[in-house]
Amino acid sequence: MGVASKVLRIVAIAIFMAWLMIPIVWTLSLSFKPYLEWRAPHFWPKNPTLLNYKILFFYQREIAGTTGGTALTKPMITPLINTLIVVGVSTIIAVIIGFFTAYGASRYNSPGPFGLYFTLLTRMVPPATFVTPVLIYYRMIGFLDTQLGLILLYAAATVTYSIWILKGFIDQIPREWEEAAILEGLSPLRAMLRVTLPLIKSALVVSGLFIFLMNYSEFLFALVLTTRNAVTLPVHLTTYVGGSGVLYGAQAACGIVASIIPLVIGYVIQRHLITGLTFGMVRA
Amino acid sequence: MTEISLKVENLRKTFGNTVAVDDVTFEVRRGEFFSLIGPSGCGKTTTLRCIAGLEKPDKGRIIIGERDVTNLPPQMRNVGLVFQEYAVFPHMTVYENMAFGLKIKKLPKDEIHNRVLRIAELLNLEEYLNVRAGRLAQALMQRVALARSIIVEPEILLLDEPLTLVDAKIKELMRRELRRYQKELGVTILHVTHDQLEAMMVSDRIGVMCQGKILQIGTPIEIYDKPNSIFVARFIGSPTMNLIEGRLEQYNDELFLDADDVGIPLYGVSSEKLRGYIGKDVVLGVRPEDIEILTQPTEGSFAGKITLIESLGSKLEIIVELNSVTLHVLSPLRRDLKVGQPIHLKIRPTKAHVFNKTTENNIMLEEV
Amino acid sequence: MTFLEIRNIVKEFGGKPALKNISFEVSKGELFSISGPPTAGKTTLLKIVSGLLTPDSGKIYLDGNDITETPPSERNIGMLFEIPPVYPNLTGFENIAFPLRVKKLPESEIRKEVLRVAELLGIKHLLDRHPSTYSGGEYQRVGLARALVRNPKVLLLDEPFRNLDAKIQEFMRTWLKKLQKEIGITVIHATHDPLEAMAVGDRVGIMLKGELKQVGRPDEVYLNPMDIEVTEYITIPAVNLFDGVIRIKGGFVEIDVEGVFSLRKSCEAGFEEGEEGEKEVIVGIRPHDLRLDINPRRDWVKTTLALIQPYGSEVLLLLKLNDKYVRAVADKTMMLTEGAEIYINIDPKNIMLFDRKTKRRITI
Repeated sequence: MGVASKVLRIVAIAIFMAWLMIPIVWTLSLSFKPYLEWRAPHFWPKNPTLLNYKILFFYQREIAGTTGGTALTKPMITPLINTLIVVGVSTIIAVIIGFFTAYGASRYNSPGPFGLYFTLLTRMVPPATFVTPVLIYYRMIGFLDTQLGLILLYAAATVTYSIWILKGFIDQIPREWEEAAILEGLSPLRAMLRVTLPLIKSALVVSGLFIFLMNYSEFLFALVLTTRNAVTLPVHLTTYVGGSGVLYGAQAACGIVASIIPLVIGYVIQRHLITGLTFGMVRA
Repeated sequence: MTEISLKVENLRKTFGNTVAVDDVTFEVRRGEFFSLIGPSGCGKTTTLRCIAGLEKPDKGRIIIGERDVTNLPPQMRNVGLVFQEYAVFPHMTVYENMAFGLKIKKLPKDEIHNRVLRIAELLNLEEYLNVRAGRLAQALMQRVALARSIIVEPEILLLDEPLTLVDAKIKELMRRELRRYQKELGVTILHVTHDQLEAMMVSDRIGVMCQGKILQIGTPIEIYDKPNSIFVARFIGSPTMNLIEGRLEQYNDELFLDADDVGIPLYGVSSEKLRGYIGKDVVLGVRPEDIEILTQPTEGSFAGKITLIESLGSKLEIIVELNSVTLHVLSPLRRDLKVGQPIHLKIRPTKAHVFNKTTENNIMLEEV
Repeated sequence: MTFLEIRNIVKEFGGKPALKNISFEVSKGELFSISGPPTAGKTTLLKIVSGLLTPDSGKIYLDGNDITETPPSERNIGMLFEIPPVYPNLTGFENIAFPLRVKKLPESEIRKEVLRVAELLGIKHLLDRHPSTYSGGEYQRVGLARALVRNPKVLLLDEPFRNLDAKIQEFMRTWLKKLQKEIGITVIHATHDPLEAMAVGDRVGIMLKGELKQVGRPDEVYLNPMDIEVTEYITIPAVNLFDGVIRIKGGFVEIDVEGVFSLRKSCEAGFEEGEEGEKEVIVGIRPHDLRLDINPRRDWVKTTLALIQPYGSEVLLLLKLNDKYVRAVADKTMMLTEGAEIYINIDPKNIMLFDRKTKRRITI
């Protein structure tokens, strides 16, 4: 490959990276800008402040200096905890149910192809279609504004991903490997847990992360189904509005803090990601 | 058109610390069926991939036709590739499979049609043109794969272990067909396999590889009858050649091998080249079919005891023990032998190979 | 003495018969090889013997006990599957120890047994390593170690050499035979390669389309196949088949092979005296049994040499006879050139005759 095409490649990648990173870096910079600079065109804050971050964690009455207004903001702690619980638990449920379903589909053909495609249907319809029915249904059974309600909804909506990802990996493991364990005395269930499960660790991690990220940023249903107690971070972000308008700085700070969690998780499990995402699997 | 379809010069490829291909040089003539064989990991597949353009060699040149293609991508090298899994599109008909490569090259429709019909006729596929390729039997599928790859008229066809996954019974048929069609159509083929019998059955010449190097190149008969080293001698031929270590000695003008507690006469073997090895440690190589079993001793025979008789269909494999030495003998069917029976063996005179113990080279082939 | 008896096993999958009334016996310490093409039902049969599948009907007896209803882990049968259960995430030691851990044996005992089997199979150096570093043959041996570590009474091998290099297959066959004789374990070995079955087994069973058609010592089965299907399957290189007619007259039988050959031989003992008649047959001739000469000989048939293929110590020939192709095996010393004329003949004693209607073998 000639030098010209190499340079061209680097330039293209640089542009792409910039396009990806600029909004993120802008948000980071915005989170340190004081009220007066929120709408300013310059990139870096001239008078950096930690006020936006303080807003996140404490009730505030005043956020402005000379010209500003007042705003009553709630701290992000409760929504953060809600999000962690709701998204965390629903992800775990989705992965567990997905594993059992995928195993059944792979080894026992149950659900068969129709059943599998049916689970995919839940993602083919625009989610907004379900808002009203779910809202009414939840009100009937008292699930509105509860963590449990969101957990069940998120799990049900995303289980199809774990089924599809895990089935692909389980299919690659020779059935005989479990049969050998059965021959040696394990029940089919224990064989599944002791033989198959360890071999697809990476797949579990990947599907878990994928579902986690989907649910983490879920907005529509969280908005509609929660009011006070079970509010999640995406919804909480919208409350940063004061008499003078949207509190951009606070929103930026909230966004930055919210991103930390997926970043940390991603870093910790990156080894599994590489195996899982490239479907680099069992070598018979 | 050139006489040499493929020339590989000093090819070298390393993966990390492992040298997969180590200074490999050979050529394939036009219309020739050339096989590279060796155990798994010897570098034959990597060599093939470098020739195809799927791997970039560290050093060396690859010349196809008259063009130096070392730096060209695969699609510009004018080679055909057939992998293990047949490389036919199962959901397309045979016709569509064959037309595929030509469509990519944007040939006019009637030209495509003509070529497909012509190749189909040559390979006896006319009645299958409208059948879905995935429905065909294995042997037929191979023919379609062959048709697909030769219809674009490549300079050379590269086959990567095409018959490895095929059942024993069908393999024989496919090897025959592959060779017949190759000869009839004059296709130049470079074929890679670990199965030495397969290579012998289909090739004009064979290159034996071991640990990245080519040890010997020759016709199947040459390599079988005159292996230049212990590795080649052991790798070619089934059942494997008997190899016995010992010291070469002379007694009354006859040579024999002194293997501690056994003496094996090399009756009728005389060679100037061996004279220099008398008293030295050597390795004697004899193929199982080159040992005769006699019930009575004769000149040049030696004694042993039968420990195992295995039926190999139309032949018998007889395992004979002479103290610490075990020999495998291949014999036509006979009913007079029993396990435990003492018998006499004799090596056919021209069929003994003597190898230098340290260099492992065939002494008889050494240049004086 | 009969150690393992399989009686009248029948198995269907979704209405399609997979095994049709299979019965056979294996003696203690015997190596029994079952050979058949891929869909013949060998794996199904092995899985039924091991207990992983239940038959629709039939019985299995091991050492005098009816084990048809016994769960697989209590049958004391070990199995090595086509893809050996060698898990990539465990070391060699852990892989072999797996069944013992399932049984919850004490650690010291596990260690002892694993080392014993590893020593026996010569794989001690693999115990600390992971399977990704193993060669094909080593992989197989670790799988075998795992099957043997429980000291089973019977060992089932499903295509154990399928994925190995041709040369390694040869080595492993001899190794297996020696090992089996050394430890004296009863083995059923399934393979798609008839030559492998005949080389390895003390007795072989030919399985075609769910039926166990013929059982016997390898040389017996090879020389006396019971019908055309078996003959076609076990003869490598492929057997030559011709249509023919036989005429029995005065103690002799005249064999007319497709109007091309005419052979005559005396009827064998046990054949009825005075019997006469004509019968339509199929004549089977093994490539190895054809006599060849490059010089014309009286009463020999002329063919053209279409293809020469070196075949180890011999040469495989494809001969064109009118519009048909005949396969023959020649000695390497023959001077052969493609396109030349080759004359063929056959000793009537080596011909196989099959009833054209029933396809079964007839002895005349």
